[in-house]
Amino acid sequence: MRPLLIATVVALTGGALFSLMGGEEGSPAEATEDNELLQLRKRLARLEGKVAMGRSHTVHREVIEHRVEDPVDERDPDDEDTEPQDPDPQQQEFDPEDERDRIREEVERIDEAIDEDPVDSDWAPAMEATLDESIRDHVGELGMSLDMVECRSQFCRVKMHFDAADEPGQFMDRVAGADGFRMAGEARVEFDESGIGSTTHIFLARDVPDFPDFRPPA
Amino acid sequence: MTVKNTFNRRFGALMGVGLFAGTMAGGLLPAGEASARDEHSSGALNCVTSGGSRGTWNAGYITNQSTTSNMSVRCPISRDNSSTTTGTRKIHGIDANPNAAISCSAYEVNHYGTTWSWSGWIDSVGSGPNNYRTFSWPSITSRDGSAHFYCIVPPRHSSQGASRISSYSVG
Repeated sequence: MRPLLIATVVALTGGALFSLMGGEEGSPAEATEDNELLQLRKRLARLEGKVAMGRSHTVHREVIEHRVEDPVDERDPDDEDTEPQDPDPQQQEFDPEDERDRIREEVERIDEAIDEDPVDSDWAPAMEATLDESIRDHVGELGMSLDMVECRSQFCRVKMHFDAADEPGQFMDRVAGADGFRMAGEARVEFDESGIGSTTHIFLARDVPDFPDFRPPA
Repeated sequence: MTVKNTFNRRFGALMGVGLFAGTMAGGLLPAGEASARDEHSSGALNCVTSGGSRGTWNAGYITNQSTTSNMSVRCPISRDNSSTTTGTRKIHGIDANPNAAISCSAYEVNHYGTTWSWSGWIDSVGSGPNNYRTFSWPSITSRDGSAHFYCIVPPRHSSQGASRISSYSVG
């Protein structure tokens, strides 16, 4: 009895293991069905892949079409006579000529006000000498010509010409807080057409915390 | 529905209500009036320096550690563009050197740095580590560009210590 039982258990276990390892081929009809199922799955996978690629192509084409709609500057960069077709408005904000005109108008407005300022004969000459000395002490190697140092009773003005574009800023930093320039003041740099040389107008106001606002009301 | 999902839905609803309420309040409040009264304060750590020898401290101030050279300090002002005035301009420091003052001015500059103005310069008076000073200028009509303070800090004194710029404000 026992040998028979052992043989039965061995046979059943071996069959089960063989089946799990794929050793059982089944009937020809079942194999055909499995093959068809496998082929269908592969075909479905290929179709899904094509659909996904198609979507990707569609998005890419939309991007390309969008780019094509953007304006393209086809001008020769070396051709200076060609006007820009569609200039960037942010690059048009600063027109040097407009800026020069604006500064000239502001300078004229302040000059007219100072022209009306009576001369304090005690204070003005002494302050002019102080300003002149401060300018000469701080100008150093800068290429500057001093055109005017004038004081009245409430205001002084200094006009000077610099040869290089970065010199007005350098000079004004040097004299900041120096004798005479401790008054509240304003500076306006009027560049010439080359944008290199400039006339620098300095206006100073006596005994006030800030230089008066001569701008027209907004 | 899980507990997490329930939380997310309720939290999302609360966020939505909050955003709606915030948007409505922001649109209805008079922003211009509120900003005109705002005071903008900054620590001196924002300031840039040249010359001297800068000391930068976690207490938020900067000093001139040089015993021989002045230090130039420029502190940019953050302004509210919706306001047409600067508000009162103030910069705070301690002048420790009995032999030299801190000098400061307030600058206004147009967009391109071709036009600028400065206030009358103010010197600190007194000296020593307890010589707290505030330099102040009244509100003026603001320009269309930027603004900053410019101070000259004297050298460190051998016994009284280093002069400092601590903070500044507008508004």
